Amino acid sequence: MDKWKDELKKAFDAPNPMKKRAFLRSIDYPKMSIYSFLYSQIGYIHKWVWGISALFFFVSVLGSVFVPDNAVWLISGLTPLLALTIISESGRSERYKMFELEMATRFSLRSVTFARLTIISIMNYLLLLVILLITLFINISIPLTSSLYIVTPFLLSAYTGLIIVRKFRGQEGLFICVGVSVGISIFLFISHNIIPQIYQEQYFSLWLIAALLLLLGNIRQYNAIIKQTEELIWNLL
Amino acid sequence: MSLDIEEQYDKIYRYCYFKLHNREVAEDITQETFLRYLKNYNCITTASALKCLYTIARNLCIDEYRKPKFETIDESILDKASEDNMLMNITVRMILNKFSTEEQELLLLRYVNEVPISVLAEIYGISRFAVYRKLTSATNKFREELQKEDYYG
Repeated sequence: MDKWKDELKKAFDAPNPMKKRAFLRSIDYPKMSIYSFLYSQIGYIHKWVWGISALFFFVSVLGSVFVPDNAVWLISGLTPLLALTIISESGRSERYKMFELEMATRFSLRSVTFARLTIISIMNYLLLLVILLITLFINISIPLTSSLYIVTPFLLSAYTGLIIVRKFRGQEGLFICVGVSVGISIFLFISHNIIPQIYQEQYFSLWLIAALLLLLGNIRQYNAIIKQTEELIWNLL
Repeated sequence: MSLDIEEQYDKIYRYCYFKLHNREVAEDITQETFLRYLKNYNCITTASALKCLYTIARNLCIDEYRKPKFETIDESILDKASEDNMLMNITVRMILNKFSTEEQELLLLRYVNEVPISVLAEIYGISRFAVYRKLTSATNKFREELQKEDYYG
């Protein structure tokens, strides 16, 4: 460490606190670490979220093995449905009108939403990565750039879905998300036959830009949802 | 998620001591800060937990200023065992006395309490760039003053 920083620390040194131990013993505060908290939340995520993820995984692997030529389009078409798992969790508390009860729990709704969105997002991205590696490993002929045709629709679905659940509250929002995701899925299933030119190599940079923009958009929406959860808490007070 | 309360206790206490120069009052304010912080679950469980903590401490210190003045004794200097350390400490303190309170506070928060620049920006309500600029200026000034005092030997 720089010497001047050391000196600065010494200069701002304060005498030892006298009542620290007694105070810390007397207060009740969450002693759970962030990892234990995330781990504890895994058990509360709906089983169908895990089910959809597992289904996505198996269908993608089977597709890569049995229909290698169309594997990219198959996986690409399924990714919007995977994105639904993130969207569904973001508005769950509101859909079931559980806000008030959740406000009174040990951990705030905001932290629970944050933890679950983080878990599902990490799981989905890992799943996509594994699927991509498997697909590219099985079908060596598929160019690496094809991975963008899988990741971009996923990001698009997650992005539009997160916007929708923020604008439309409750069950209605989720139905619209399902509709949009299915729409994107259908479009992707048929687009490589109807408008194959969008998958030409010359448009690769556009796909890349779109993926990056959508990634940023997702991060923004993710933050907005967490912030909105906080605003809703204030509305209840 | 929640902060390491034990670690933050020392940092907040140091911050309060810097503001109030009185061990007892600084410790009381530190404990009050934590009690208020823990009452607010939104504070505990968000990414802005550190901001919450420092904002509460800062406001409580301001409230304390407004109360009738207590006797201020710089106990940390009296506590120092070694005479050499004491002299060095006094020199650095004299240098720091040339700085504005805001500059001193910034140096304490950033380099002693290791508060991230993004949190400092939130606490002061300015941009990260502005925090960085102020820090660089204060740091350079501090190092120059140390050199003037022939501190690097």
